[in-house]
Amino acid sequence: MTEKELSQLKEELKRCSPATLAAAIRFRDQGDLESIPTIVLGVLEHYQPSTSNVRISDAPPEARLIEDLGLDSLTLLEVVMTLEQVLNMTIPNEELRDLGTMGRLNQFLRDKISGQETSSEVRHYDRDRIILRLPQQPPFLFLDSATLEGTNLTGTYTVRGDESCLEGHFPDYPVFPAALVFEALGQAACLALLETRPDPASDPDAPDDNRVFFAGLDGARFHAVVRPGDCLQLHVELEKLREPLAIYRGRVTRGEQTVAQVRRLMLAFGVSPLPPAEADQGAAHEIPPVSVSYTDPTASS
Amino acid sequence: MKRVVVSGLGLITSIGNRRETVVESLRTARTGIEPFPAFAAADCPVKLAGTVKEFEFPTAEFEDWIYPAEYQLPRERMRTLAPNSLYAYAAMRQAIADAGLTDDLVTSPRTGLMTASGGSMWLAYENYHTMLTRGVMRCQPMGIINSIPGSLYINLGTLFGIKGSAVGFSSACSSSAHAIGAAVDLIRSDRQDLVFAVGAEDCNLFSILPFAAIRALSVHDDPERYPCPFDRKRDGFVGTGGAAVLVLEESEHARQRGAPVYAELAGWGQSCDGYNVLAPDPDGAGLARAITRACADAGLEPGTVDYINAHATGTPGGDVSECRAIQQVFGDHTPLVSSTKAITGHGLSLAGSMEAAFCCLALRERFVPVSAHVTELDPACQPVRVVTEPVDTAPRVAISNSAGFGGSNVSLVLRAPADD
Repeated sequence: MTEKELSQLKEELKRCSPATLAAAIRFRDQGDLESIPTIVLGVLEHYQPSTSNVRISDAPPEARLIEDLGLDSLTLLEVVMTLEQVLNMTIPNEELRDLGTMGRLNQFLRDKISGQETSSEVRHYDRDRIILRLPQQPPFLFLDSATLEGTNLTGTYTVRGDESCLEGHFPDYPVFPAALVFEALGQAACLALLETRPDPASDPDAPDDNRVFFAGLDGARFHAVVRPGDCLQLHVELEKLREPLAIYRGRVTRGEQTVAQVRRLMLAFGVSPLPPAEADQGAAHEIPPVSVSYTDPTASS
Repeated sequence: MKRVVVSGLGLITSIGNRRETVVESLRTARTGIEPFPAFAAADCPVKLAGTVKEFEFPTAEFEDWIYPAEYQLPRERMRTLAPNSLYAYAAMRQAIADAGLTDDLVTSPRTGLMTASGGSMWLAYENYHTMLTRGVMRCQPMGIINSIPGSLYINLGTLFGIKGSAVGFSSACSSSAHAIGAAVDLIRSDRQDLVFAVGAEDCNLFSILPFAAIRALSVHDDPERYPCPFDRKRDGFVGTGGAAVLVLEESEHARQRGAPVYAELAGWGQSCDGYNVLAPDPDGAGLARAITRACADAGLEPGTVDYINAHATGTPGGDVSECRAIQQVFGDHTPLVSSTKAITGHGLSLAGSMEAAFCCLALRERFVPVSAHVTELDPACQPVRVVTEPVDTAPRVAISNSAGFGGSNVSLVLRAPADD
């Protein structure tokens, strides 16, 4: 660092702890990536609002900057600008969205500075974890595992052969019903939605349950017969999320082969779009006729 | 028609940061003006300013600002404030306490906020400087809302949870008088029960010195003699900053909650000279029109006015123009006239609200503020009864005049409460 850069750095961090400045100098002089968490901590502590009682130094990496540490969006901007100056880097707008927790922020800065592709957070779910999260339960659960990356999810389901519907569909030639393939895809989308939608705790008006309803399928196509022993991959990609509707693009594959596709798989959440009597009976999980038309309340805006 | 009363005041001014101090300064013509160190450092002919005591702004970073402990705010509040909005926050706190307003009343949808400030040229400069020297993406994220003229209603509205009308006014030196007039109209038309009318201004190089080059500022260094509105030797105004808040309230609303009443805001009038961007019409016809309209709006004969708090800033042209306006309306027997700017300095956007507040104090405390520093009354001002020495008069009806660039004129009529 030149003298000028050093004095700018001191100016930038003059209201943060001395440890913050020391770490920043280590970073700028030696490229020491291990200093990043200390710098982030010092900057967050400086900007922490008086209304927040959390000790940031004791907070775990998964502590959320807004919900747990009490920062507001303007303060986050200040934090980002200060970090940009101290670390001598630029964080583009589209990357800001993914920096919800202290751990993510640290990892992001580390990846970014070391020139790595910034890794999006990846979460894995086994069947036990899925059972805890989804409202659908065995024997009507068609999801064995799932991987969530950002807002996109890939699930798997292996057709066991003992599913009760196979007894009649068909007596001598069991075929996993197309309707249930779409149901499996819907369950994958449901998990993605529950795991990525805005936290209801931060919104006092949000319903406190996990209810998600199948609201429609547009552009659904079915290409292959599914039989016991087949392992289905269920891919859903978020297209649009605005309460009360989430829209996913969906695809079901078996190995290299495409089994089914959906251009728009719509889920309703938050406020029930269905008549209360039906909703109470759990009829919501029934699959509506394929290609039902649904008036998208977000389409006009 | 609904009537409007002033039920609370808040004052952060060069002559005092509390009502009692301000009254004492007005009664004794104690000046709030002093040599301003920032001017000495700036190598300019201007020396004096109406400094705001107990507030210091050594750097543009709010962490370095010094201000009274009772008004301390956390950083997430301070980061969007400028000196003018911090003064105004303090004055609002006083006004709310003075009027005895509950939180429910302050945050009622029937309570509004009319503000006037030139914004903070200083922080705007700092922000632009950052933009040009360090890059667009390095701009202070609060750089707009801490400096634009609207920053006053933006910040006060949020700080106090205002739910009714909120507007910022920008008509140069008559801005806060316009804010008061708008507040009166809102209450009379039953759109609001209560409105805070706020004027505020920074007090620093950036808010004051741009007036030097147009030769509007006094270059003397003796605050006991300058500025001297109406005096033959006057050479311009002295700048000041601060904030003044008037709580304007529908009279029945005020009566029912047993609110203190300083005065009735009986009427107001406005006009434009349509003459020149800077200079007032020398004939004073525009201001005379505003005064006449204000009296008519208040439903009173001009002859019943006892006291005029003149806009008179101490510039050679402006004071004479105003005297002609007064003479046109009142003839040879004018009300008593004084300019309190001799001891406060000229507060620009703040002036109208500060001086309307002074009129409230004069009506309630039953005194007429003198026009300080007049040793030789300018003959051109002589037809007007300038109060150069204390008089034993309890005014009942007072007028506060404001005149801004572009010939923007406002006249406010205040009347002592009927029951005293």
